[in-house]
Amino acid sequence: MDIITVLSFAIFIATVITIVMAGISYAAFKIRDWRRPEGEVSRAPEGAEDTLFFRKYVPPAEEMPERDTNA
Amino acid sequence: MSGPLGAGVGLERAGARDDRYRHRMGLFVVIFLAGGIFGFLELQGVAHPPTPLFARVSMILLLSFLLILLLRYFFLMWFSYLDHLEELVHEPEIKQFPRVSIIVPAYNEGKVIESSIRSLLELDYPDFEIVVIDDGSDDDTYQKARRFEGYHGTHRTRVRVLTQRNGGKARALNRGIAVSDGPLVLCMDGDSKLTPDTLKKAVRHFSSRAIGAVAGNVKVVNRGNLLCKLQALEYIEGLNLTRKAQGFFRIVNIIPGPIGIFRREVLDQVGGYSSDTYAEDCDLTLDILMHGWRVKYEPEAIAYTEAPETLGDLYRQRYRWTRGILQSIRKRKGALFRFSHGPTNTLILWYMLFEGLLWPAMNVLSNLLFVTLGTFYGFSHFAVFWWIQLTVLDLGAALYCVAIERESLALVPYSVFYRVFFVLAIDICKLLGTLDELLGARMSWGKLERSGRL
Repeated sequence: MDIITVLSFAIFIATVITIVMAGISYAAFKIRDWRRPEGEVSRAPEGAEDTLFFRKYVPPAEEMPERDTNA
Repeated sequence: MSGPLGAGVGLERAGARDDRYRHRMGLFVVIFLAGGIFGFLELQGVAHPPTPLFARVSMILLLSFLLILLLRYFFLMWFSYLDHLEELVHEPEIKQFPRVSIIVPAYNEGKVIESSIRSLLELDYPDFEIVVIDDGSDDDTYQKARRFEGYHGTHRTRVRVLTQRNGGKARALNRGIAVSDGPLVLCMDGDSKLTPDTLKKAVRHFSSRAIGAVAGNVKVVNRGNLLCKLQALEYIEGLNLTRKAQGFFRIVNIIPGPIGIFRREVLDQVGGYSSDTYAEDCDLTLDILMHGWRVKYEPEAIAYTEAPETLGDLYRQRYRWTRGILQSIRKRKGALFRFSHGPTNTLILWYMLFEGLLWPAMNVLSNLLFVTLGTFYGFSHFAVFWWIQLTVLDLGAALYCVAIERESLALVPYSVFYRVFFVLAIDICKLLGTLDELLGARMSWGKLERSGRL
């Protein structure tokens, strides 16, 4: 078996292993994501909530606790 | 302080002689690659004429992909080199030290928040304040950060720590921007650590009125396993090389989350960070560019960050980046076909689509094709030569980037694994992310587990 055949086989194996690992990682990530509670999953606002721009933003009193003494 | 970070922080500025050496080395590598690449292409086209139709079509596709790949590398390296030259010839001078407000959003960063704040207090800059926004952490982030509240050092640097109900990074940053007062604002991640001269290096670019923001240089601090080393290499060779090339034209299209410096008036104009995409940093940068401002890259404004240590965590991160970038482009889809925001911005959006869609698809397809040709069609020579030339290309690019970035040469040998394993794995993730984005699959932000190595 010449060196080219060995290298070619090694590249083939490395590619196949990478593709399999990529598939498994993606599946594992999707399963973890799918198992999360719904409220936690969808954090991006969907119409109901305006995008928060900092110039418009006035923190509600409950978000500015007394412990924020230096603010 | 861990090894790589200690080494990174301890790097001293090279002298003029050193710069000349790097300059020559960079030029040599660019010329070598340009010549070598086209030589290889020429050889490959005549070496093994394919016979079956599938093999012929595959060969044509592969050679086209190779040409695109070579051109991409060539242009990125060439423009990054021009940027490097420009820095050497016209180094911007710092004439004044405007006040900088550093905003640190933190969500469950208990393991790293203290070292992060400590690194900020060591910054070599006369006038800055630190505002830490705890985004409703479940751990002791807030308590740990509060220990730093008050005034520190000879410059009486003020540290403020605020807390709020969990609302996401964009909101935390916006709140920090709202309560701070510096004309320049540095936004970072709670898990990042800055090098002492970061502010001085970044602020000097604002002497030009056209510059609205400066993107810093993100480096990987944890380099323990192969995956982290490959990411360290990718940050230098993949992400920073692109940023440096874009920096030459002042059109950096993603200011990285771990370090970005902005004019306050720019943030006022664009309305700060928005939380309707999963890549708020990319979204904000595009907003800034669309408003006519220019964005520069500063390689010596360095932020060290922890990279994902497992393939699963890496996938989660890249999946979010991919979908976030696509969402940011989609928000501006009108500008893809109209020059209302200027032809440069249209070009940027198309370039982002190329990098986000075409480039990964091309890489995955070419890998599949050349493995198929090598294994089932008897073109093993072709597959091996293809791999060798890509590896030579990656090695050359890694050498160039390491020289330009004054990074560790020990990273260069890992470029052997870069193409055959890392790039393929990341590109598959990008493709799957793109597919999910097109199908509107749900997703969560996801929180990377910190190892506390900062």
